Amino acid sequence: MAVQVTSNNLPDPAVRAAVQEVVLGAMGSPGGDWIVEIHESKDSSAWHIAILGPHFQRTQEFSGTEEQNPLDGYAFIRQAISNMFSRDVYVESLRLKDFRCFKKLELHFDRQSSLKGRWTCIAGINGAGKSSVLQALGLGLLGYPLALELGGGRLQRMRRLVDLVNRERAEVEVVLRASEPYRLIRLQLEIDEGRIVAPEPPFPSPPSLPSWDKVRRLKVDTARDFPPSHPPSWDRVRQLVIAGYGATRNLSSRIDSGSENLSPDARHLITLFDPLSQLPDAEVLLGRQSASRPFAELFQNVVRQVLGPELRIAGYVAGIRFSVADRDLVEAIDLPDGFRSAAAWIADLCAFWCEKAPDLAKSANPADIHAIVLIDEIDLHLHPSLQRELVPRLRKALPKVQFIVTTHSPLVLANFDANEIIALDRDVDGSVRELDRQILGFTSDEIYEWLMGTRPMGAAIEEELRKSDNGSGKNAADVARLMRISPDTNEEAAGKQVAEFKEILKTLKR
Amino acid sequence: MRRLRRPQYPVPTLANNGIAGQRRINDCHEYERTATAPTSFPPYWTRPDVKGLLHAMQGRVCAYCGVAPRGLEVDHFRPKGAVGNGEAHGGYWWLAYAFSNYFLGCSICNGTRKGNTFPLVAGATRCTYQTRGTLALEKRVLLDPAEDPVEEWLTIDWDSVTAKLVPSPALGEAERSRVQDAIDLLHLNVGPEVRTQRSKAYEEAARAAVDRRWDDLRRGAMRHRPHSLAARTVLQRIAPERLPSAEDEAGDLADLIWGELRMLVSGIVDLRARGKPPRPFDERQLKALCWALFVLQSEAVSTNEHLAALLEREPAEIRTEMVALFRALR
Repeated sequence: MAVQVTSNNLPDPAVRAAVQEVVLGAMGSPGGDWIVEIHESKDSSAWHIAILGPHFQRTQEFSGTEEQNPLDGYAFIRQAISNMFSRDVYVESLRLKDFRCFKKLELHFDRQSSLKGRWTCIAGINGAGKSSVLQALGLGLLGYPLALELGGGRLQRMRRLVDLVNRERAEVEVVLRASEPYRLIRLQLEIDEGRIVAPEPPFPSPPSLPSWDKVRRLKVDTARDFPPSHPPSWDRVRQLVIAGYGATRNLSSRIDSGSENLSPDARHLITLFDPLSQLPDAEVLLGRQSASRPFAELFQNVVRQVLGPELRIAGYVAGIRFSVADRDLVEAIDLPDGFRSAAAWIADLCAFWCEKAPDLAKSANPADIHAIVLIDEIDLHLHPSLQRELVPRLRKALPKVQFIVTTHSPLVLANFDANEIIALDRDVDGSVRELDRQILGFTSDEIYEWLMGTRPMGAAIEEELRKSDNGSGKNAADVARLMRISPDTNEEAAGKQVAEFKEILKTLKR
Repeated sequence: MRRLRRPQYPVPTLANNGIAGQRRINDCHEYERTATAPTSFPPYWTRPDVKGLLHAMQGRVCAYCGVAPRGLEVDHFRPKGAVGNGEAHGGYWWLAYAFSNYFLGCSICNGTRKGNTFPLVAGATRCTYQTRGTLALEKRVLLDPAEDPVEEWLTIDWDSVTAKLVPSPALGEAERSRVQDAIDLLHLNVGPEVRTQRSKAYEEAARAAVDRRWDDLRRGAMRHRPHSLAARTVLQRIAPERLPSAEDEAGDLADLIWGELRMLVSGIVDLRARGKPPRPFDERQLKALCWALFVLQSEAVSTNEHLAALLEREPAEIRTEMVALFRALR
């Protein structure tokens, strides 16, 4: 393919090359001839950009910014061009090598589902690597150079330990797909130290990729900060709203100074990596920042659809006032834990959207939000009745958001199509167990047993049984009574039943 | 745990010219040539003919703990890929596609309890591919319900209202301790769900015995019913002559499978009336159920006649559908 750049006021060939790169990266090298026209108006007050290509035609005007430094490669032009491409971009697959606990892992997020929306739920036992998958996605999407903001120590920990001291070189590859034709964006990141990385591609090309797709690689060297060439694919991703919320996502009045220096993109993913960090835009909830109008309306709409009617927004007085179950008026910080952790990430997502897409955000319509959202433990602190309904409500309220979430809750799991569930299991080849049936009709007990390998009765009665069998604890009749107490059998009735049973056994013995 | 009998019926997938059989032969050739054991095992054991045969052997009940969960998995009695405990034995890979190594198990027994472990009695040597001919002599801890007389070795302690499972008092000291190890390994006594269900089944059987409800007792003692050991223990003690025969059991299981099959078939007939194709999962299930029926039918003349009578009683629409299905699979 060829990209021809014409302009009346872009003398620097390096800038033209950068523009070419942006288009190539954004379109994933689609082939055909492309023309990009960049014109500055005579009075230097506005820029006009037109992009023409096979199946693609887009023009846009934006005001010139004198104070922008032309030496940074006309970043504002690159940004403007990136913005002209669709926001409907979603993660298609993830491949890992020697990342955290994974020697090798390949996951697909685009499998056909009978339910609406783009959802993937990662289920697994503790230590199966659920959070690591989210971290890998966060890291891959952050890319170069922003991933470096996380700090060498954190990046270092992403590499798999081979023995007590040494770590492998970690490789992350995220493939994104945009809805317009021919868009496949491949982001690759390697984490290593002090070593030149072998030039051959780290992963074999998947057969589904057309041969013209150019593999773009990049090395991030934690020790020497190896500067790679300009990575156009991340330019394409930068315009997107990509947010990640770790299991310790937090809303407290403590000011988080550690992440103040991070770029916005890194701040919206930091809770995945740092358990003590704050959600960036939670400030609005806490009243340290005043809420902009589109944000306020958007947030109110999402909360109403997702957490209502139990939680409502009562008004804004130096921060948001919520009303819980139509009774108590509280500040965000005093919300019940479940609402607080859910409201905090929703607020953060809305604020991020308003920041990145101010034009689209004016409508304050949640259904307009395009984003990729990673949430660890989506059920965090939520009451079971809300756990049950959360995912269906989010599907309805935010249909254009791709969610990749983890959970331990069977009530949450029962809301996913079998193809949306990735069951991580270290004992299975390739670490992923394929579900051969839908679990939408399963009860929580059945999900615990079938998917999570545990039965739902408590361990205390197990202990009682063990002791009673050894003759050191309660007598068998007492344990049998405990077994028979149920919502329709009280303690007395159960006791009577066991006594009778005991008599019958004696009679039969004779 | 109850005694199981492996049906003698061909399984196309596992036959030497079947897809899994071919894989087995290749794995062995490869090992003899390069001394490397296979590392991946495509799950051919989930095919309908394999599952159908297992279904005919044990109904919908886990081979180990006796519960009837919603989903049953195909369990490799001897693990195929590793034997656990850090032992440098690559697993019984040559048994990955052997029917004699398969049971249906609940996900707890198969995954959580057994997993990749297969302990031997202290000091025993583990069988390898070279010594595979001596597999039957391997001193394993776990009981094989299709090989060992588990109903003679394991019994419910009569006086226990919590239906504690104990090694039979008739066994010698060494055997008793081995059986106890097998019980402990599978948590057959400490799993609270298993124990509660068994205790209630035991109570139900005892009450049926007092009331002389022999039919209920006999049904409860059928091995494809959950916790059949409870009713079996009671009958064995007070009226062993009333224990169900193999034919009774086959007939009852055929009835159950028929019920499931006709539900599926009428669902498919329904879908077709609305112009929709059957769901892929239903089709696999359907095939597995048919295989199970073929097996039961081949085993006893009485079952065959019983099934023919059941077919006669179905409405014409479902009958045609079922006949077509049987023909297609034969």
